[in-house]
Amino acid sequence: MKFVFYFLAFWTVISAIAAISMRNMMHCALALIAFFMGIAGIFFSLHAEFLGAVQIVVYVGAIAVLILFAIMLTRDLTGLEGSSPFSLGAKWGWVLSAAIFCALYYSFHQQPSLPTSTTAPAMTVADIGQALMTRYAIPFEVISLLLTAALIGAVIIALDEQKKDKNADAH
Amino acid sequence: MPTLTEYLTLAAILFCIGLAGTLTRRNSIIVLIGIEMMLNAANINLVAFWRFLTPSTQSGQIFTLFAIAIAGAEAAIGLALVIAVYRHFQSINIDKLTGLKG
Repeated sequence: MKFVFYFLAFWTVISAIAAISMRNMMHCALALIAFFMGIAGIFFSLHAEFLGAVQIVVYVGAIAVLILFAIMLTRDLTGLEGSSPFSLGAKWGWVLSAAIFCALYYSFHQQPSLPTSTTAPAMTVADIGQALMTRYAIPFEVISLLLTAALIGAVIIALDEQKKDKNADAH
Repeated sequence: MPTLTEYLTLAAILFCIGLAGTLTRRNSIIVLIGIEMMLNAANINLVAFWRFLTPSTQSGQIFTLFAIAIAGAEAAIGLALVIAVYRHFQSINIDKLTGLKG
């Protein structure tokens, strides 16, 4: 069991580093897909199977594809596809993230060990569905409103204004 | 059986890698990729705490579900903004997007 966790952790960390440091943007997006699959594997190892499936469907199936489309639509014409993150000007980003990692590490190594449960949870999709329909019904409706607003907003933001005016003049 | 601390350490490492990517790269899309990475690291934290502290309730998984949905909405809006910016400036290098500079 520990071997599975360490394999998943290694996979996820390596693909995360690859996703932010590759020169070619498409390679970054593909490394991000590997990262999302690693996260889904960690959800499965935590006995959250429904969340693992949702992670794959939503993140790999929708968000990563959206990122790929955006990369293909915004090809950098100057030829310089973003500067390297290992250059000298980027050192403060690494310093800050190392500092935040030290702060996080200190915060959860400081206190005595939390009471952990060793019984594996048996949460089924039916339990989650029941909770969503009874106890969390209002947040469920609100999130669908938010997703509708995001859908309409994204279309309006990315709409080509000049083509719309040209079509209106032609009629 | 990996302990809670090991999952939290993994989440902290991934969060800091995403943060470093957001702060160091000049390309807007990689900034968004770093933000998605940070959201996923927080989701690992949520699920790990659910599994080890309250495995009989559903609130941990429900919280994570909503976090995934909100991250999806934010990614969609962010990438629509990137496309709109590219149409205007012909570049998504954040060093060139200085329209508000006096």
